[in-house]
Amino acid sequence: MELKPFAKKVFSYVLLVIVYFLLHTSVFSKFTLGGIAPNILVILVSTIGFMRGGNYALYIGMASGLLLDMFSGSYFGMYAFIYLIIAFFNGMLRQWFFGDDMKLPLLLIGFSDLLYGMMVYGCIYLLRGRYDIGYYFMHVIIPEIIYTVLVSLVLYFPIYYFEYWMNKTEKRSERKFV
Amino acid sequence: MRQKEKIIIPTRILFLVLLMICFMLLAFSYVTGFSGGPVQVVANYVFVPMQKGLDYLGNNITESRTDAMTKEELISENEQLRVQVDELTTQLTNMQLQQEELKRLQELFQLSSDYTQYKTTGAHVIAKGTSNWFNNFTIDKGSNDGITVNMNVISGSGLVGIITEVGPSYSIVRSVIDDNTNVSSMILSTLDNCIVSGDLELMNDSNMIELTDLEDPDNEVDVGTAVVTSNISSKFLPGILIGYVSELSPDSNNLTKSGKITPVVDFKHLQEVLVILQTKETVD
Repeated sequence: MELKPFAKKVFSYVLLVIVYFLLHTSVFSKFTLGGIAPNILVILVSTIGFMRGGNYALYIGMASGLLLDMFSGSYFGMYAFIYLIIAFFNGMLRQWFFGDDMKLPLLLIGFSDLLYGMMVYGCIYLLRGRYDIGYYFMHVIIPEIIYTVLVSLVLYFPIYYFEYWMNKTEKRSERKFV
Repeated sequence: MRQKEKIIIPTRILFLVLLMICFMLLAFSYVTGFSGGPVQVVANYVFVPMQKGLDYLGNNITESRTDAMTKEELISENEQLRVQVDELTTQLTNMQLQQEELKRLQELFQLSSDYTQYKTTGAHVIAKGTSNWFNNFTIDKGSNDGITVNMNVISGSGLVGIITEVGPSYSIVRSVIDDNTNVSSMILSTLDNCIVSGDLELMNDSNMIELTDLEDPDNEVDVGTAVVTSNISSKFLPGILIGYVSELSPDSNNLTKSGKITPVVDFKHLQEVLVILQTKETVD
């Protein structure tokens, strides 16, 4: 693998993660509906997962999770663990994905957010004796899924075109070096 | 096409390796309190300036909305404020007299209570929680400004939370309403100790936090009583107002009482906070 296209690729992905992380913590956390903010990083990790899959998705999931861990101040490694599982899960379903259909992405993003909610509840709340899962389900998990899916109607497309552009540059650079 | 020698790690193997790393990080941070180390410094110079910028933009937008008040509105508001200033000035002189008297009496009794004279530094909230499950936020001051872990954070008159992590120019605050927080506190009037703990369910439903383990045999505590941090707390400085009792009922053991507190701080619209530059000294 040539160094230059590789470095460019890594740089582009780092930039993508930074932008979505800032959207997650500094922009959308201000636009809460009923105290609930959408989960922007789940959109990123899930979309990269089912569009590209493989090792890239895992790296991006891990990186997003570690960033969140750094800015959450407790249990360093918990978010990395959760986002890693989301990335792997979406990567497994990559063969189902066909370009223009919006139904599957929305479904997968929604399901990933459900997975996220259940894992946070299971890892933190359940272990501390908060057994009222019905409440948390109706008041935190479901509203977050709905809001996240709504936001992903917009935030899905930047990632889609980013991946499209990445694929094109990759193919071009492959042709160049044959 | 010539096949290049490329080492590709199978996704499953990489997944397992990264999972192992996560578990190791979790265990390591649990044992040593590690939270990023050198990566924190990178985060400090990459994310904090951008978060500050976004926060500044956001505030400007909300401010320009308030700029659009009409002249009449401003005049009437000004009049109201003048009346209020007069009222407050008279109140203040009364208070000053009482304060002088208190000081004199305290000197007589050789007491010196300096609860209110904590040295503080102001900070902006630049990023809010990382998830809907936790109530923590990032402020724009860190170890360069003399902030260390376990310093108390207040806003106006009430307790906001405690610093859990410090970077060079940012720190992370866990608020009192977080589901993980427990504060040893006391009733201001009777000095009875109790535990105040955040609860996501209560906070979502009614903007209140939990109060438990209150011993009140003489039924002196009533709705509206102020609750402050206690002098026996290991991390919180004594005498910081948390909130007012809203509900109270005896527990099934008939010895203690529990109920709910309405916090004095408006956590939904928190923009500036004060960090008390002093940690509680305890014997370890």
